[in-house]
Amino acid sequence: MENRKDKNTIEYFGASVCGPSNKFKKKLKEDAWLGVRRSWGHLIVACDGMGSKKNAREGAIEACYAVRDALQFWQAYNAPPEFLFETIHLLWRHRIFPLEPQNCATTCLFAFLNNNNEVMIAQLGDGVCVIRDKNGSVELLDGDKLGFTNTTTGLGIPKSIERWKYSSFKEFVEGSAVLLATDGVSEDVENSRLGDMTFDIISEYSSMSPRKRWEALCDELRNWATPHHLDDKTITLMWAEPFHTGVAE
Amino acid sequence: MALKEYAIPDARPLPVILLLDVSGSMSVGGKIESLNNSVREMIGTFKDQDDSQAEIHVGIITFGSIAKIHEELLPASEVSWHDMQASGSTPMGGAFDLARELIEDTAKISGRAYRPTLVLISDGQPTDQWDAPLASLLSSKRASKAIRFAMGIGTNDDDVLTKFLADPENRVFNADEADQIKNFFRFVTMSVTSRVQSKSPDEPEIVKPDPDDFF
Repeated sequence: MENRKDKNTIEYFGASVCGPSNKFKKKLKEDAWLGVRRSWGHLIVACDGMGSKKNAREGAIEACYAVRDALQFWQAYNAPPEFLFETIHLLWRHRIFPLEPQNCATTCLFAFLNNNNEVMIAQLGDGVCVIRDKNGSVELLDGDKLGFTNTTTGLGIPKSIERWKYSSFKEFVEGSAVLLATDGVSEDVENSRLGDMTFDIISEYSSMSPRKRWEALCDELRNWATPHHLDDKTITLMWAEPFHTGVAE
Repeated sequence: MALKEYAIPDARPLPVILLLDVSGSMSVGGKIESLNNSVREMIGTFKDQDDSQAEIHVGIITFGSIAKIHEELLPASEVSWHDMQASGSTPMGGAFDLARELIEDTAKISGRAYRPTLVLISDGQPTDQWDAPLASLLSSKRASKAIRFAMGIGTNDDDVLTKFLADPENRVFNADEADQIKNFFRFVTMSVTSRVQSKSPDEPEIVKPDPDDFF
């Protein structure tokens, strides 16, 4: 049962596909995403298990659940975000046990909308979090890049708990949207175009059935236009309905 | 749609930056001629990489009298090679500074690039202040992530080149004759092309040529 203050309907969806590199190595994808609708809020998570780590897939999947479980606990208290990040790290280590954290290293991005229409976006490692308000203004968290593609931080990397980036926004009301993308997508899209991409994806896919839009988005990600793309690719979005698609009067 | 309209239509770059000694001593024994021929051959091989997972970019820094950019960092297919001339002293420290500035310049090497390859070749000791510039290069957040190779030509003192590698598992290659410069470049070329043909260009250990095959 939702307890949100206003009556905007919150929607989310996402898709994640295996990239050519993992297909070539006959490995399963190491990206994961999760969408959650609970009485305490809405959540989307996207994680990118680090390809050089042998349990990267498990690390990414368990990170999604660790964020969910940590938020369920954290949101009930008026605690600072650092407490949330510490809880995510702790729960993730529990969930992957007995695997070694360094073998499960993964990036972690999430957006959490509470029942006061406040959204928190947070990011550890590569990828991007984009928030687009109802007026089309765009802000983004760009990952803690260490210099080049595929050189990142994440859960399972020493001292990574100090490297979380986060931001909070009020008034996540109709027409507002947030997009999370792993680096397989974000590094091949100019930052200046991410707001428009968010708008276009929601405009095109929001009216489709869940099954159809998942298939369509997977097709788009598999047929990525950047030559010789290699990485797994994940996009997940959350938005507040009604989402006006901007047809000029 | 649609996402096709947003994806950058260029492959991710893999920069290769050469730091080449063109001091006066390189004019002796056919060394500069061998170096010119070897670099030209390497660029030609890079241009022929049709099956690459990345686009190889090449930039060349020379140090002889002064350290300077001999060829701007460009896709290998766009590099127009000009032979180098040997003269003057060995300002290697200046070359380290130029390399660091280039790698830290995100307009020239974007965050979507694969880790650069840095190649240093010299036949003598630096004649300028090199230790502070090298320390800056090795401590730079971006430049420190480069994959590094080094060759000493006709010198038994590898101290600076060893410090440039900063990796006890990596070794300086030594050439006693000009012909061996060609072999070193073939080894570097093989290493780079292995990376760009790999499905994991930042994990060169997966396909790593054996240097003993080249010497």
